[in-house]
This record gives sequence, structure tokens and C-alpha cells, in this order.
Amino acid sequence: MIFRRRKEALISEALGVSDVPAAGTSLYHDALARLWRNKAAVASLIVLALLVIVAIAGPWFIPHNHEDPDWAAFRAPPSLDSGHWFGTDQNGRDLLARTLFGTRISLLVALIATVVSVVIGISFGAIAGYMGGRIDQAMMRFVDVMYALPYILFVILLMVIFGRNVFLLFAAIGALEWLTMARIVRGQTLSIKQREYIEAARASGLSNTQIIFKHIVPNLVGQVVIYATLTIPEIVVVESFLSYLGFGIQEPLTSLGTLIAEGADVLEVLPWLLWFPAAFLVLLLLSLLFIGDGLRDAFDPRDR
Amino acid sequence: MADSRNVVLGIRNLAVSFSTNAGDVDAVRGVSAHIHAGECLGIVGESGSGKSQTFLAAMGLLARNASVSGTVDFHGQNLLDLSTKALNGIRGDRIAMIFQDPLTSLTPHLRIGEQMREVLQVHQGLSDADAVKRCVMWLERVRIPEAQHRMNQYPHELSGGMRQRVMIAMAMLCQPELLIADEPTTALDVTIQAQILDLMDELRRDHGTAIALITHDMGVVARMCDRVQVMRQGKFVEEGDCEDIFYRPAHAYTKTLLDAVPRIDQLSEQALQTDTDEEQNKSHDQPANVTPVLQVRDLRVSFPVRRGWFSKARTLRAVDGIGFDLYAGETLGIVGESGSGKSTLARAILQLIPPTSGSVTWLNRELSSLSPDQLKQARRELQIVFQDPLASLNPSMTIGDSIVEPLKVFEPELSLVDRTRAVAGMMERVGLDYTLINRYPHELSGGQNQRVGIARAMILKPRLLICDEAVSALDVSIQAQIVDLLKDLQREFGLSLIFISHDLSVVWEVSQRILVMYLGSVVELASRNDLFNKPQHPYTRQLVSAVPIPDPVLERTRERIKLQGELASPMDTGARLRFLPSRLLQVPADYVPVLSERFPGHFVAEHDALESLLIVD
Repeated sequence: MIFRRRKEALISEALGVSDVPAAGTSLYHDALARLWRNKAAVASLIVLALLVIVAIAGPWFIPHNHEDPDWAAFRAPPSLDSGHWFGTDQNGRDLLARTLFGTRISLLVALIATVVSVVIGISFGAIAGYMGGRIDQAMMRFVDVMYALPYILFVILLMVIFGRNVFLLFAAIGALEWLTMARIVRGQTLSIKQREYIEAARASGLSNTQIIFKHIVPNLVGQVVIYATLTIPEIVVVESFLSYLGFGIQEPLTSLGTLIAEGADVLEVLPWLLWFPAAFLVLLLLSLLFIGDGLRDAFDPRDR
Repeated sequence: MADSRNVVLGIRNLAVSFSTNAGDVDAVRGVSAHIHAGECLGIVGESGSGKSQTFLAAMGLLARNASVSGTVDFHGQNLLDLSTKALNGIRGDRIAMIFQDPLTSLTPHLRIGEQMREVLQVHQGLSDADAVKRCVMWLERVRIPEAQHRMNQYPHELSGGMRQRVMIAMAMLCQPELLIADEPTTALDVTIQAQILDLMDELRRDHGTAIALITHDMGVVARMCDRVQVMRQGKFVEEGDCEDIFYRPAHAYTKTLLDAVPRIDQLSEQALQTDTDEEQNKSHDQPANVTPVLQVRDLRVSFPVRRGWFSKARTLRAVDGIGFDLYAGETLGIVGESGSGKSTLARAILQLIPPTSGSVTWLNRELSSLSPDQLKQARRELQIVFQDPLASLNPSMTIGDSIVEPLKVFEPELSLVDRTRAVAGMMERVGLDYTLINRYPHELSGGQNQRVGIARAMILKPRLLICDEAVSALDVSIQAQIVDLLKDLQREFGLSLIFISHDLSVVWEVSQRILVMYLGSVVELASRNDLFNKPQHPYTRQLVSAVPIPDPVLERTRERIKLQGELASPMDTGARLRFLPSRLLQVPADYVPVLSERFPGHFVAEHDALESLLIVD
């Protein structure tokens, strides 16, 4: 913002006029304005923001901690009076604290894995698409080979070989998720490459790196943002699934998937152990999906 | 006389408005018109004038966010009041439409025959055999060769001209009383356009079909229409007989529109001025002593094309041995129909596509032998302006950033203030207000964006500017402004211009010499006057005769040269000898007719006599 203000001041100085030329509305501003008018997406944004805030700040405000048992309350049902609003588990640990902590871990996995997949996916896809020819062939065949590996098996093998480690889990999921992103980005790059502004940039003497990162990548943002918002819930689900199988997050850490797995075992006696984490997961996934949907409409308004 | 005839369609006080996010947009504001049987009514206007919306509204084909008022009277029924079902009974049966793009208006996965039969079965309940018979009859009627065979083909297997003929045949199947043609020839090459217009005119005379011809092209109107309505900003500004409109225009807008249209039969005063300047220059110094700035010699670009997995790759020779010289301050026009390799040639000259062989010499330096660094330095002097103003600008950059980019590459030492000054100066120079500097391309009009493209190309003060269809996507009045701007810049900076277009009349207006391309090679290269006054090659003669002239009397009495064969694809080996059939059996299949200097400075490719190539009616 400050940089922009300074630039504008310099521009008006250069032009010898006092008024700054009116700022234009970029396509992204336009898209955000459209997103803002989409009620479902805005509501989901609010829900998501609340979930994130609660997950990050919540644990400091509740008297219990996710790993220490409350010796006075084992298997306590949810109640406002006891102070265990979501109840406790078989070990007397407060479920509210554990759910919030689990949400934190799940979001963290999703965030890191998505960032990894976006960064690798964009660079890989944009380079393959722009360079074309043999380089493109080789790079995309590599992607195909990676695709052909059974994904879950791959993660499980990693876990077995290197032991269970949260960071390895992040890396493994991210390193597999980028494949689809790379394909999407490559496809988009191929069509952007045909546009005349790329030729104009080449005629102006720009290098390939400059063209890729200045003229191609910024125009991919719409597609990438849409796909990334849809990747997050996918990763949350994968993480939950791995944790459910017992390959994911390890005690005393926990995640929504782990909590759901534990809750499912005792559904008939301690149903709250399933319902609360499950509700959080559903809320998180739904809001992300609605946001992704809203973004797609906002960036590509023609298809409505 | 007009009143005694039957009115087919009467439009009264028709208004259309669209509700959008940005508020209501009035596309059509109360227009009235009528069409008599057997008449051709022209609706002329620039883009956004509401000419298409008027007829889409009359047919009930508008988008859902539109509201329509007024009446559209068709034999006593108000079409606007009819239910969709009742309208469907009329549409395609008694009123038919043809659209601009013949590829998108045919369903790609249905065979030609199936699409055509469907119309007959829906409206007339014909049996299969009868329907097929009728379809074949109409396909033959619109001069589609091997009609029976075409019935089993898919739309993509036919050429653009063929597809538009299929559309016309389909529209005519039920013998409608009214044919609404919305820019029917805009997407077609000029020789194909001439054939399609002739065909429509013939149908009108033989069947008494009324035609509503929506177009932006005054030449087409002059050729086809009995009456003309000039439309602007949703209203008819002038109505009258074709001749009144052309010879005695009353409204200022009609006059501007007519003045803006370049004509190949008479050059504008400005163009004549450059001609006389040229003559004088020629007499002063001998052209033989002047070295050309750009020399292109035997330039070839070919692409491998592979069809299927196991077939051998064939080569598509997009540019096939082109050579010419360009002198400082000169404008060379390059004309050719679609697929003739004009754009590939432009890109090969600038080394944006590597040429397969041949040489491009810029100021005595061979471009293809330069190192990447030297080539980058050479690019400073070689710039290009593209066809699509919006597509040639990065949508995520402000126009100021787009214009400044070449400066950043070549003069990185400039301060932000100096750069901004340079950009603002260039924006003013190309007629853009500097306050637009922070705007994005989608916020500007097509004409403004094209000025941005020109400013970006000019900011480094290049010595050669290639305009690849630079005005083709613009309305005529904007087109005239951009052409004037280019000429001004040329005078001011001593630019050499290569002006590429499919539109002969625009090329005429700007160029001193003109090169005519056919399937990647030169068929004729001559000065502007020689090319118009004594065109030698049959193809040039056909092109010149097919360009519509916005003068009804002249246009309707002109003799047209119709040659055998369609414009062929560059993949078709025999097509290169279309104008030299006598040598077909003597020379190898990839023989390219040889260019020779028939008169001083007037080069012509070898060809057979025109008479032997004409279509015999």
C-alpha cells in the first residue's frame, strides 16, 4: 500500500500535475467484488474465519489442555456445569481442548501441503507449458509416472520406512498433491502462451524467466486460487483418512481425523466423542467448498 | 410502389434493455422498421449499436436478463406476445436466420444431413426420403459440389465458405418469407464473401424472400440492399433508399461512416498526397542507389503436421520462398486470404518463429545468425502491433505498465519519473489521455487498447513496425483514426511499415507497394497504382474485383471475375498450381510458380491466361 502511494506520488510528480491519475480496477478487484456479492461464499468465509480464530486462540482461553487428564471426570458427557462443554474421553481429557487442537493440526497440514503443492505445481506446470516440446514431454511424463503410483500406499510406505512423523506427513501429502496442480497450470499456460501479449513481450526482448513469472503466472492466479481452495478440503480428508487408519498424527498430538477415528470406536457408549470433531470437520469442509465455488464464479462469471 | 407490396415484418417502437450488475443498459431505444416481400433491407451500424439485438428480440432469442417492449408484427401476429412453442413454429419455417460464424452455428457432432433433415421434420413432418431429397436439392442450389456426399460429413470437414452455404441452404429449406442475415460474410474471405452475397441475391430474386441484412460493411450494403437503416446507439439515425443514403446522406453520422470507409477505386486526399510526394522523391534520387533497410530472401517456414499415430509427419509450408525489399520510410502492404501465411511471415521476419530457411537482413545484418543478446538488441528497432487489441495486452497489468515494459528492458537506468514521463508523452502522442495510465485493458475500448498496443511498440522509437491486421478488429470510424495515427507516426519517426491485412481497401489506403500472397508465396508485387490499374495475376484480379465498393451504382455494374476452385488449404499439394493448371502434369507436386519482373518494379508469378481459369456459367 505504502509502496503504491509512493509510486503514485512519483507519477504525478513526473507528469507535473497535482492530481493522481485515477487507479483502475484490476480483474482481481472485479472478481473479489463479485465474490463479495455471493452470499454463500461470504457466509462461508465468516465461518472459516471463526473456525481459524477459535482453533488458534481458543486453547488459551479454556482451562483444560489437550493432553492432561482431569482425574475427577472420566467419560463425562457434555455439560455446561462441569466446565467440560464437549465432555471428556476415556482418559479424562477435555474434548473441547482436543477438538480445537485437532482443528489446528488439520488446518496446519492442509496449509503446508497446499503451499507446497501450489509452489511446486505452478513452477513445474508453467515451465513445462511455456517451454513446450521435448522438455514439456519429459516433465509431464514424470508427472504421469507419479500419478500411476498408488497414492495411499506411497504415503503408508513412507511412514513405515521413516517412522511416523508429522512433518513427513505434510511433505508426503504436498509432494503428491502438486501433480494435479501442475497439470492444470500447464494447460492454462498452453492457452496463455498463444495470446498475443506473450508474443509482444518476446518482441520487446524479455527473457523466458521474465515472461513466465511476469506475464504467465499472474494470469494463472484465478485458476490456481480456485483449485487451491478445493485442494485444502481434499488434504484435510486425506489426513483424516490416514489418521483413521492409524498412519497419521500420533499421540499426544491429535487431529480431527484421529479424533473421529477414536470416537467411531466408542460411538455406542460415548457418542459425543464422534459428534463434535465430526461437526467441526464438516463445517470446515463445507465452508471451504463454498468458498472455492464462489471463487470459481467470481473469476469466471461467463459460465453462470 | 413500396406501399402496394406486402409488408412481411413490421417493427414498431421496439426497445430492449438488459439488467446487469452495473445497472440497466438500453441496447435498443424505440426503433421502427418494416420489410417488404422480396426486398433487402440493410441495417448498418458499428459494434454495440444494437443492430443484432433488434432482430434477436424480434425472434424472441434474447438472453434471460433482457426486457423487450414494442410490437413486432408478422402477418397480424405480434411475435413478442407469442409463446415459445408458437414462436418455434415460425422460427426456421417462415422466418430463418443465419449468423456470423458458420462454425459455431452448426452443431459439431451432427452430420450436415442430420441437422438439415431435423429442420424439415420438425416444421413440415416430411418422411426421411423426402427430406433427404429436399436437402440435397438445396445443397445443390447453393452450389455445393457433391451434395449427396456432403450430407454425411461433419461441419469441421467443410471450409468456412462451404459451412456458410450449408447455413443458407438450411435457412432456405422451408422457403421462409424472411431471411435475417446477421453479418453473414464478416468471418469470410473477400472472394468467398462475393460468392455468398451473389447467392443470397439470387435466392431473393428467384423466391421473393425478403432479406434483413445486418452488417457493418458499407460495401456489402451498396451491393445488396434496396433500403438502408443506419443505426447508432440503439436508434435509427437515418433511413432511406440505398442511393439516397450513399449519394445524399442527410445525417452527420452517416456521412462520417461513409467517409471513414477506405475505397479501392478512389484514394483519400491524404493518400494521394503521399503518392505525389513519392513521385517527387523518386525523380530526385535514383532508387537504385538506396539500399533497403530490410531484405527478405527466399524465406521459408514449415511446420510438421502429424495426423494419427502411425502416419508420417507431413510438412505444412506456411511461408514458401518469399523475398522482398523494404526501404526506409516506406509502407509495404501484404494482402492475402486466411491461411495464406501472412502472420507467419510477420513473425518469421521478427524471428518470433524461427524460419526454416532463407534470410532476413536488417541493416546489413542477418537476423538468424545473431546471438540471443544481439537479437535482443536488434528487437529494439523491430516492433509489431497485433490484431486483437485486448488479447495483445496482459490483463493483469495496467496499461502504463504494459507500455513501459520495453523501456525497462532496454533502458533500465531510467528513473521511475523519467520512464513515467516517457510513457505519458507517448500516450498523448497516440491520442490517449495520460490519466488512463493506471487503468486495466478491460476498462478501455478496443480502439483505445489498440492505441496502447501502438504506444508500447513505439516507445523505443523503432525503425520498422509490422502491423499484423492491426485495424481488422475495429469499427470503420476507429479504423480510420488508427490508420491516420500510424501514418502520422511514420512521418514523424521515419518508420518503415509492413502493413498486413486481409482487407484490400485498407492496405490500399496506407501502402505504397503491395505484395499479394497466396498459399505462402508471392503471386504479385507492385506499386499500389499498378496493382489496381493493371493487375496481372488472375488471383489479384479476382481479389480486386471481389472487394465491395461503397457506391451502389458502380458496385452493381462492376464485372466480377470468378475463378474455378475454392481457396485451398496449404496442406493440399495441387492447390499451388491452381493458377497454372497447364503445368500440373509436367512439374513436381510441390512446384511453386516462379516470380518474374514483368514491368519495372512489377513482379508477377507465372500463371495461365485468365480466360482459361474463369468459371463457365
